[in-house]
Amino acid sequence: MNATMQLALAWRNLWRNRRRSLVTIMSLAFGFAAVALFAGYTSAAYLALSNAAIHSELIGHLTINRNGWQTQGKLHPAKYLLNADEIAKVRAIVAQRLPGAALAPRISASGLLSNGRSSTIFIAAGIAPKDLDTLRGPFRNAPGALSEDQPSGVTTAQGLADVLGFKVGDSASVLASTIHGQANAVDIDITDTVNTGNSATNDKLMFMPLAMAQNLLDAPGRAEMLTVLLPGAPVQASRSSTERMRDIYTTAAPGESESAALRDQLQSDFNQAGLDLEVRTWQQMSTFFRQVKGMYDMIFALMLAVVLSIVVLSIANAMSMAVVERTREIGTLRAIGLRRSGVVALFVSEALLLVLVGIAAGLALTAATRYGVNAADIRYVPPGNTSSVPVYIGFDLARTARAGAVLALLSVLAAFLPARRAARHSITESLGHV
Amino acid sequence: MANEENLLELRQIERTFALGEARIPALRGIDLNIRRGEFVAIWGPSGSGKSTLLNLLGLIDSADKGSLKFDGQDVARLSDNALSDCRNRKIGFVFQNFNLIPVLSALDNVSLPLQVQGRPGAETRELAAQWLGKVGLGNFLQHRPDRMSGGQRQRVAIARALAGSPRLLIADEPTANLDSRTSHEVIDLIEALNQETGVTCIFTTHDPRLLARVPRQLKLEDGLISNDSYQEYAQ
Repeated sequence: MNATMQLALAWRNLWRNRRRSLVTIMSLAFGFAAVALFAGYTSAAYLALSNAAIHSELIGHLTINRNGWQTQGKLHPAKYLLNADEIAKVRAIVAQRLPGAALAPRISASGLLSNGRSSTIFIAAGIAPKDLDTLRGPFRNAPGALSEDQPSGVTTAQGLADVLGFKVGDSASVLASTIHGQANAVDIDITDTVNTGNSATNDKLMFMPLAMAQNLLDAPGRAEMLTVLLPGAPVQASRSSTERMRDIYTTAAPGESESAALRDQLQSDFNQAGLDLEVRTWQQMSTFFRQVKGMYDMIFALMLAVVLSIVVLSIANAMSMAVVERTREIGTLRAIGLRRSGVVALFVSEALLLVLVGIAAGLALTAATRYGVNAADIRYVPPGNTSSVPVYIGFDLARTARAGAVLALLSVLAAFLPARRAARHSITESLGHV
Repeated sequence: MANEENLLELRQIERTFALGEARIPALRGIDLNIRRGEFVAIWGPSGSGKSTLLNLLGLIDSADKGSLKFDGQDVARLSDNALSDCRNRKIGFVFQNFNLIPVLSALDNVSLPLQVQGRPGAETRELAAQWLGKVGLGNFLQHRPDRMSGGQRQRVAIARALAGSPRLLIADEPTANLDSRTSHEVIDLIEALNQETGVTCIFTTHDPRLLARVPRQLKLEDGLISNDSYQEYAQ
């Protein structure tokens, strides 16, 4: 039988029991839409988390520090901080290897922030105001920027300002240990406050100009890490919070293998230049991203398994019933010379058509639900956050296509087994089936 | 030694069915030759083995013992695919309940065995339309079986059976579900096609009025041929 006739026959057979086929198609469509929507939601969440890590937590794409700094740097900062000469060499290598990439030297300080009456601990990220703008990219216009015109201006986290009753425009002083172990204090002006969005940092974090941090630590020209922002990242400020959300939900950061390849290239360049440095990717730096991705991936796998089980059982039931109901017809087809493989192919074609119609309906359902949810601006506060974010459902083509392919494969198997059994049945018994 | 005149040669054919632990012999050593172009009726009481014999002759069942040669070939040596191809190209079936595919039009039903042969769609449709014309259903090409009478359905089944120009037409009680007038029309049609195309026709029936019109009658009783009108004639 040629393919056209086979598909035409399969299509007509599909609508013999209209109600059963529709119920099967509905279960397929809803199951597939559930998988596609969750895949879309998690992929958008991965993009948002990655962009938040890169631009909001200022992790950047790659982080460079002296080898051993992670474990020994806090105890021996003088030994592990990079000096101006090393920073210049790194800048030259990065410019050659990754033309267009931005490099931001950074140093962190911690100590006490005081309003003159009471004090509390702070953790400051020291970074040049211009570099901070570049790193923040889509968040550039959001609160939290530093200004080149205000060398003593800092941005504190909202929670930290609240603890000591600071408002924008107030002055304060910070006390910290220098890298040589001596106490040092500087006066600061609070130029802005920002909600970090994270309860773990909102009562401690502070951004201060790199020069101020170097001065506080008595480490002029030095940095503990160099943050690389790759070309192609969104460095323009988003005009509105809606645009910012769209940017972070749709801009893809380099994947794990791509980041690792860049890291290895740079690492090799540094080794050749005699620099004892360590390069880490943004995925290595962002524990939160890895944990959330691991959790979502696991939930997705479980959900896929449950949905596939239900949908495939539904198809298996529909196809098994169709095979039993059409036993005499199978006998007739065999009697007029259709081979066993032809009978199997006929039922497999029916299952495939069922799956294709179900997937098409599922995609339509996915598109409609996605549009509705995204337009409704439904908001929620994620774990560890202090402000709400919108629910945004993206479209994960790769995972949706893989789920569809697995569904089609399992459905074919679900039709293949009963059809094969029926095709092997005695023709005379099939013809006598009532 | 095979006789080329014979389309079918059966030697000591036995077929037994298991019913629980009991074994029921349906055919108990059938010897039979059927020549090309013959028009043969098989009759006998219920349970005599008519349908079993017809199934063996149509290659949709296999014997437990004995040999069956179809068109000079020992069918026991053929694989399932080879048997399927043989049925498709050399045998046409007409069933008591018509066994048409309900979702297909008359034209598509008749095209089906030709499609299975792998012939191009346009050719199969043309041939199918010709055959429907021959059986008097030229105006019913697009009708589905549920919109046709019993006689019309059986005509479609006959057209389907003969569309592939087979050497053998097997009809298992083709008139059982038809009224007397339609039964005679169907047998008239099969007879005319037998004479026109030279196809060998074998059918089973209970109707003595139809038997009288058939040149060769085989009577089966208890799994054996108790009377073969050809043998009587030959003697």
